[in-house]
Amino acid sequence: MPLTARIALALLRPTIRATHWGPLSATTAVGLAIVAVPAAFSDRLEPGTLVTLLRLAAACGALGAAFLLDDPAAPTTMTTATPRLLRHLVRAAVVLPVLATAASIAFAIASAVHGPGAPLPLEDLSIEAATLYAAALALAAARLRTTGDGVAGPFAAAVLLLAIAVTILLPARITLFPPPHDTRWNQAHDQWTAILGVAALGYLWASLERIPQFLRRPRRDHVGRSTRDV
Amino acid sequence: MTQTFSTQSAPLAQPTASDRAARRKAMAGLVRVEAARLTRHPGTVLTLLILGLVLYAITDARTARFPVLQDADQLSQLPVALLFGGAALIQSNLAVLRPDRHGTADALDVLVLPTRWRTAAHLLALLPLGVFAALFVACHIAYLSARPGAVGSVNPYELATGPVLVLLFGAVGVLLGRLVRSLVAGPLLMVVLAAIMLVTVVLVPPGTSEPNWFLPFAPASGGDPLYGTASVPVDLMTRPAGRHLVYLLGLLALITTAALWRGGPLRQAPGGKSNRSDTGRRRRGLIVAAAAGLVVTVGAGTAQALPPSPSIVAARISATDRPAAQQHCRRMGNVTYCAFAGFEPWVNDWNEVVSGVLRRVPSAVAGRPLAVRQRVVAPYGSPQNRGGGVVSQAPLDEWRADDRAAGTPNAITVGTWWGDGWSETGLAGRVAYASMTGAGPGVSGELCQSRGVLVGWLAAQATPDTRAGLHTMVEGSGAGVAFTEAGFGSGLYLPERELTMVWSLLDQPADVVGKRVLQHWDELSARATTIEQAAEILGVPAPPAQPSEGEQQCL
Repeated sequence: MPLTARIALALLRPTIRATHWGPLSATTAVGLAIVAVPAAFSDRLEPGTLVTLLRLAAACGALGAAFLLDDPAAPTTMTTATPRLLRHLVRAAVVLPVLATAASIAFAIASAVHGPGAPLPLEDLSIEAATLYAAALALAAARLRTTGDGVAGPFAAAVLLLAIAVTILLPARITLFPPPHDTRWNQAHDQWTAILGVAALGYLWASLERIPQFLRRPRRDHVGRSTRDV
Repeated sequence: MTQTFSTQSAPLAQPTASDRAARRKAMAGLVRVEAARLTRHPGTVLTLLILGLVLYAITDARTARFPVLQDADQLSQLPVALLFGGAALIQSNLAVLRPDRHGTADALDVLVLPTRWRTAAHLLALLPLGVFAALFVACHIAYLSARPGAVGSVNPYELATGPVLVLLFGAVGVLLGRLVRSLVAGPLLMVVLAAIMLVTVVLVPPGTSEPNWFLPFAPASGGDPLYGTASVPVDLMTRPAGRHLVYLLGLLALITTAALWRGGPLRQAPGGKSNRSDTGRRRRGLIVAAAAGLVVTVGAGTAQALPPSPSIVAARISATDRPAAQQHCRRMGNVTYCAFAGFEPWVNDWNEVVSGVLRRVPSAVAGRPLAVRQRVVAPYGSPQNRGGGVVSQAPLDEWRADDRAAGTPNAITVGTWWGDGWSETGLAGRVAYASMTGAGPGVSGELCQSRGVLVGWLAAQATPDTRAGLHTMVEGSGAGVAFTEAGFGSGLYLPERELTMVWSLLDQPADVVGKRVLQHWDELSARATTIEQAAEILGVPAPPAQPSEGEQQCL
């Protein structure tokens, strides 16, 4: 087995332990409640309403995902020999099944209350959800490149919310959130797939180690120490 | 040892007067810093830009040209609350949690400013955001009020609601930071609020359910004749805007008090008697404030859910059945225009459309007295403010009787909307039809053959707006178009074949067609004349006949 794979395997358990599951659990629970509560209080929800509720649940899950890369130990792990790309890939491998499970539960609730007729377009909605999750992770990874304290969640969550707000407000011609059976549905989901690709690539790019300026050109401070020693 | 290093971080001594002055000074400084951080934050600036775009987008062409101010004053509420309020909530939450995020929470305990004063500073720092929101709302409504087509009047309570919601959401962010240390709570609460708003306001078709005033968001009253809701004159409005604002202020007081309560230990310091009484006084102050907030919230909350006063209900019923008593009439030429109070500026715009039709009819016909009366279907219980979603039947008999009593028999209906294309073309079509038949309100049926073509052409050529309006109607309805009567009744329906001929007539010079119309008015306006005969008279090809479903019942 190649060394990288062995390191990745060895990283699995510590990564699971070090991941901040709290925010994700809270947001997933709220997301499921957003779908389940109207479903419980209304005898039959329109497909359009259900799709909107599922999108809101996906946005909640993505908010939780924005905090998944937070790592208070970042200042120490920065100096380890294992590259950040590998650590982030392991992190993604750990959190993706959890995110997928959360989305599946929301879909199951929505399908249960969905009346007879055309089934909900769950495949396309899962692309939307995956894109939101990937965008949240990519934003968090991008933030981690520029900050040394390992806290990326608030930034990623705020940018994600603003991006979603702007996307919602797009005019109907170019909207990314068309109602089901809209003529733009298929085109919008081709665009979602493209954004998913961009977000995934962005996550990979942002995970590449960026050597901070002060490490690239060692300077001497007034005592004559290298800043590397600090 | 345990006596020396007490784990309780209680204030050690009663603050002296100079301490308090120092605290006040320090708090003022903190307010300045936090307010500057909030307002200069890239998130705030970006949100303001987006808010501007949103306000531009939701102010549609009709509202921008002919705003009904008593409806337009609510337009900015939801975007301001959701976008700017959301930004205030998240940012104030992050600001309160900053010491926890950066691991400096313990260090702050040695500073001159106790936690509660810092909480108060965070709450006061929200005020500039509220001012920004107020400026935004003010600019929006000032622009709309300055439009030449603006009618009605602005309700200051509705305008104040948006900025107060921004303060409320910001205070919720501060309270949240004092309750939960998690950074995800703020954004998550915003998504939940957005979900509540979507489920209670946006996804609900207009007019199908009573707005829930206990939520911070209430749907705008903005009338939309297509949905069966209409703008109503100011003195008939039943929105509890003032009581809702007081309710929101009560909530703000409650949340502020709760944040201050959580904002510091109310433990009694191990000091002397005077210290104990000082803590007790502060505690009493908060309790009194909370009790006052609760009384205001419950009182105003209950009051806003009360049904409107019987006098308003009576006025609404009378405005629906017998509008003449509440209207001012103005005579222009031989046409009398009657409008509800506040809508008078539109009379000139109505007259432009009406004279656009009448200049193409023979002078004997155009010289007959004609009346145009504004009507609204707004009894309490109509979709305007009640569930149901079914437009109540227009009281046609009452209208005819009211018209006769007011000396304007068979007045043509105009609604409380203008500038959307449908209204202009609808009025022009009904005027054209009335000039042929003298019909009053409530006529519905199919306008076919020569008479249909003539009505359609007269209506479309009246003004550039009515011509554009016919295009809008075709886009909205497909094959034929209906000149509906201000949103109620099925209206006069112009089928596709007649409409096709109207388009080919509109391609001809209007004066040439107009001359032929004047020459052959009696034939063209007769019910028996067919579309083929009309095509021959007017010199355009007759559209091919369509397979008809049963016999046409022409008006």
